[in-house]
Amino acid sequence: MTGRFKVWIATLVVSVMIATMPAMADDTNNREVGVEWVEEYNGHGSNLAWTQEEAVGFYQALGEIGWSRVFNWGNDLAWESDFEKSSVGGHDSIYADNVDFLYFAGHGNQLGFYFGTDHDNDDRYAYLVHFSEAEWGDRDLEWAVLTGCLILNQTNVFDRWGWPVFKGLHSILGFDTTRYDMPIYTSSSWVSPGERFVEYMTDEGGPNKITTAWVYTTIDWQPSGVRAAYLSTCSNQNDYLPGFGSVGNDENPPSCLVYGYWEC
Amino acid sequence: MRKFVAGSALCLLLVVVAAGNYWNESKEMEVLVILPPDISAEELSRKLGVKAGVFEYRQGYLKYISKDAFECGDFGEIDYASAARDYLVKLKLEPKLRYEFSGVAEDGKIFAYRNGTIRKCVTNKHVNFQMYYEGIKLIGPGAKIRVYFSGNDVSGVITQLWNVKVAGKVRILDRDAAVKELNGKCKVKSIELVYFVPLPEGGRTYIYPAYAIRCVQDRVEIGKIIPAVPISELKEVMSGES
Repeated sequence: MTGRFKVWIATLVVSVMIATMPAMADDTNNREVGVEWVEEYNGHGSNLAWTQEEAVGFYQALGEIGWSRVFNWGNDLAWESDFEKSSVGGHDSIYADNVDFLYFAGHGNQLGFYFGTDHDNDDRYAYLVHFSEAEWGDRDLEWAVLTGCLILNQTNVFDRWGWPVFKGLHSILGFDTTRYDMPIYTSSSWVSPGERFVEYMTDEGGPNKITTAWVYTTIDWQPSGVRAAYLSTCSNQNDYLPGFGSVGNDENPPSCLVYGYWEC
Repeated sequence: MRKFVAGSALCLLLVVVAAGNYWNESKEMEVLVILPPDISAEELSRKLGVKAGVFEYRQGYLKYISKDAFECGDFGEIDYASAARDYLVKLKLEPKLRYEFSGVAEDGKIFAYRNGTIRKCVTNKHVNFQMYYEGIKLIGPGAKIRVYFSGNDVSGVITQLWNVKVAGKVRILDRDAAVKELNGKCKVKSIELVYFVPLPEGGRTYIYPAYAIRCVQDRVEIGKIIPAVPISELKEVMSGES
């Protein structure tokens, strides 16, 4: 059995237990992180070169400040079903919606984000987490970073990733336009954008709000012309990373959403 | 008729020769290294009117963005392009390389309420300038020249105060070789030869020729920056220069 399969069996048992529990947010530990990334698309998209560094950098950086590292799945071990709601055959309650901060690095477009293997349990959107398959925050998730191109494209964004998806979720951070597959290239080396994002959220000179930290990260990372974005509940757009400032309450359903966009 | 044929042949010959010359000339390009300016953070602090810890300054790369730049504001009808250029000139924050105005853009927020109401606001207007070296665009996080405005006031600036020197010359890979890096399946939408400027942090900062490519495969689009030079030659130039 592969490691991924063994864990899946174990988590299936947990999911049965969860399914029998009343729906509730798991906020006993508000410092859990999970990441998934895809570089090898097995012919179902062009391969990417830097998404592993991006997502794993985020995972490690949060781990270094005491967060629980819950899952880190890459390439063929990254599954779309981990992000999808149970009504479409997904298992978000034991993966994406069972952590507080989620990071996915891979391809995307206005429909959603893409994987290199088919784990679509209702055979509707193979290789893809379509926006209609996501409902987040009804269990645990607060913040999701989805760095694929165009996922947070401004067109109809509230009807795609907003009202149907925000079920207690605080923010989604991503890109409005196409972006470049690269790390933050620096003078003699490179830095993981995920790691830089954590640095801005925990800045010793004064921590930045999560949304502001994302603004600063994307400006360091991508060239002019690329536009980044976030979608947040109005009451959660000023959230800080837990331990570095205030965090607003979950709102399900939210009364107001805000979409922020900027040029990198 | 004979004159026409002879004339056409001559024109064709000239075109072929000109194209050949252009091709030979464009087969090599320079690799540049950043020369940091002799300006202290304290001096910049005085110029910007903010504390030294509030802005980033490394090797002549200056980034200062006030938090106001990403909050909703009121904007008048001013000539932002001229105001931005005046600001750079007055504070002596202009880049050493040739730069041109490239556009005014705005960042913003859109609020959506459950009752269907939509409200929009502008958080900043910013003026972008494009830097060039020998007619080739510089792109990358270390190539931005931008002035942010909140209302009528400057609320941020990203600029490059460094100069460059030539570190060496390298052979330029042709576009087909760059496209091959995409494994042939990603359909190229655009490809441009540029100078790529990384974010100046840490050691010496090299500026090198690269192809900025946008391609599409299976309905998904991505941008790639692919060095337009053989990596071994680039490394050789860098190690020889240092």
